[in-house]
Amino acid sequence: MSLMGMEDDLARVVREAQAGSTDAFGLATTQCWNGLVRFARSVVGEADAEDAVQDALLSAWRGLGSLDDAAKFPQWMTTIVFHRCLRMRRFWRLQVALDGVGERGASQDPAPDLDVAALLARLPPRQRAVLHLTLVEGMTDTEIGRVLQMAPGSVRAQRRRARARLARVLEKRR
Amino acid sequence: MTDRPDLDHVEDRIRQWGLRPPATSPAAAARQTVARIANQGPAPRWPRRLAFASAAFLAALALWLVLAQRPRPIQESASVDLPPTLPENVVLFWLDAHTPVYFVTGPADAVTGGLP
Repeated sequence: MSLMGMEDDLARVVREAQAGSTDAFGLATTQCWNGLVRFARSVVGEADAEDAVQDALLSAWRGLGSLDDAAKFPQWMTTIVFHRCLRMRRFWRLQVALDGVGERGASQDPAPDLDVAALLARLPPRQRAVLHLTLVEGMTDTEIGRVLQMAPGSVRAQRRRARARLARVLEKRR
Repeated sequence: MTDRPDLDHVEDRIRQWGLRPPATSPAAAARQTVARIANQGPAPRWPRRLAFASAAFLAALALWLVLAQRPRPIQESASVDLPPTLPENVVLFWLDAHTPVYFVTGPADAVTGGLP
């Protein structure tokens, strides 16, 4: 399920979870898990993505009452995952050189001619997040801005910088 | 898309890489999440209790300050012996509950005030 592909039944399940049903929260987790892990993987790396999402889900359960609109659960969760990833990034300060050993788990890349994980690791977390939500989830700048809590103009600027940086890295590889 | 073929290729690769499914299935992840929620128990209640106790303390403090600043009515001066009625040229002020002050008025040329 896409991060933004909200369905009515998910909103209903989230409302049941807000009423205290852990089973309903598990069901909501089932529906959002893939999209959240994909996002976290781009921001924090392969090895820590699932831990980041699990931690974010626990935080979300504790703060579920503060979610006003159950239909916005995927966006709300993505924001929580993003902040969780930023905290993890601050802790580890992961920085992998393009020609270095690559990230843990990067070997799962099905096409090893280009180490995408290592390439993304050259970008700051916000630029990775913007790039992921643009390229993988197909979100608009306004939608990305809501999730990452920044203005659409800042989203465009982050994406422009990310592309410029990737272009520089590719130039150096030649 | 961009005008650089290399960058387009990289973005295609990022898209493919980003769409790979996670190692843990959604159902397994949901089971783990529910189990962790069950293990950690309900959300801690102490922040709410602390906030309630602080609010109650502040309310009590505010009430005490308001009551302390209100002017108190002069208590009955039962301990002071007063004449049952004062003459017309005598005015009585109370400095406090135990301290009466008598003003005696008289003619402007009176040497001893209004006292006989």
